[in-house]
Amino acid sequence: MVKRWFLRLVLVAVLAAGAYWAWQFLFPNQEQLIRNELDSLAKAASIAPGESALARLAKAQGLTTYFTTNAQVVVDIPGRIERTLNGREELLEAAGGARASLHSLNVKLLDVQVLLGPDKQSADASMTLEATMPGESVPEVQQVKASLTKVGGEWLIQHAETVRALR
Amino acid sequence: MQTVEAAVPQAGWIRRVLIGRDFKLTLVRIVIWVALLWVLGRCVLVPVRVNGISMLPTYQQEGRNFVNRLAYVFHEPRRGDVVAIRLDPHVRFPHLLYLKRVIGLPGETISFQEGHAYVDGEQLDEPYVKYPCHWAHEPLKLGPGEYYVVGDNRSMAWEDHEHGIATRGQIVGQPIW
Repeated sequence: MVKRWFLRLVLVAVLAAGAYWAWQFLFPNQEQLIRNELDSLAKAASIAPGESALARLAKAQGLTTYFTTNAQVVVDIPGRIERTLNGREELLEAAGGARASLHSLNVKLLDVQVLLGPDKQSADASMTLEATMPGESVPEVQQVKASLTKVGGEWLIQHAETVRALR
Repeated sequence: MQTVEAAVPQAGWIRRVLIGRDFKLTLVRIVIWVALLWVLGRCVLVPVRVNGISMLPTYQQEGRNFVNRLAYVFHEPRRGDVVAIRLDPHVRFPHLLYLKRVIGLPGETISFQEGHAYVDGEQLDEPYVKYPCHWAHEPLKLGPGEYYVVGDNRSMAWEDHEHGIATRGQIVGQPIW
């Protein structure tokens, strides 16, 4: 009797978990879509060892598609790099240059926080960017803020900037 | 026959050690233990791996530790405390934490002259700083709820060393050793 009750409980729990997963998979909410987009961006920004020059160029071009055509990216790391990139052309140039000089790169976007705008067509996101370069045991860590906008049903980055975790 | 008789008690003993007298009860115990360890590892003692050189020689690269999230429940961070800091104060359970030492408390003024830290104009005694330092920086006044945190390895260039003001909300806890 107890055994049957226990098995039913396990079955209900498994079914509930499966239904929840299916619902999330079939009807993801906007916040989840943004998280998926950022995950995909991190993968696109990473460079696999031994990647061909052509593949690198294609991936650099693919990287720009995560941004709006007039996107602005502000990189301000005092004492190291201060640069503002405007539009996809400048982004492509910077991404191509960076990818040409690196053998491999592993990019992760961690601790992503998403705040959806009241119109559900814009959102703000903050995240920690972790980039591990070959031969470096310590990854580069940088806090990033981004504004996203929905264009043609897709979430694209309108503005991104580095933020100092410690002021 | 003798062989069979000898094997049965041994098998029973192993079975009892591995899954207990009652399998279902053991399963429930395992679930409870896993849940408890999960809560403990997330909310109380967070396991961390030290990655970086900014806290040398106090904390070595690749060292293992635990961050006690309850360290500042009954008192506020004190000068000289090594604290774990979240990069974004809104992230409750961050993947990455900074490990830094508190040298300035709310309301104080911090400066660096000839490699020494000064608090309200008084040179700070820092026995944990073992490497030569040549930092110089103008005074910085801390506001309410703001702490000045810095690593012990001050031989790094000022720009390469992540340090500065952390808010109270960013301080997660304290490493246990």
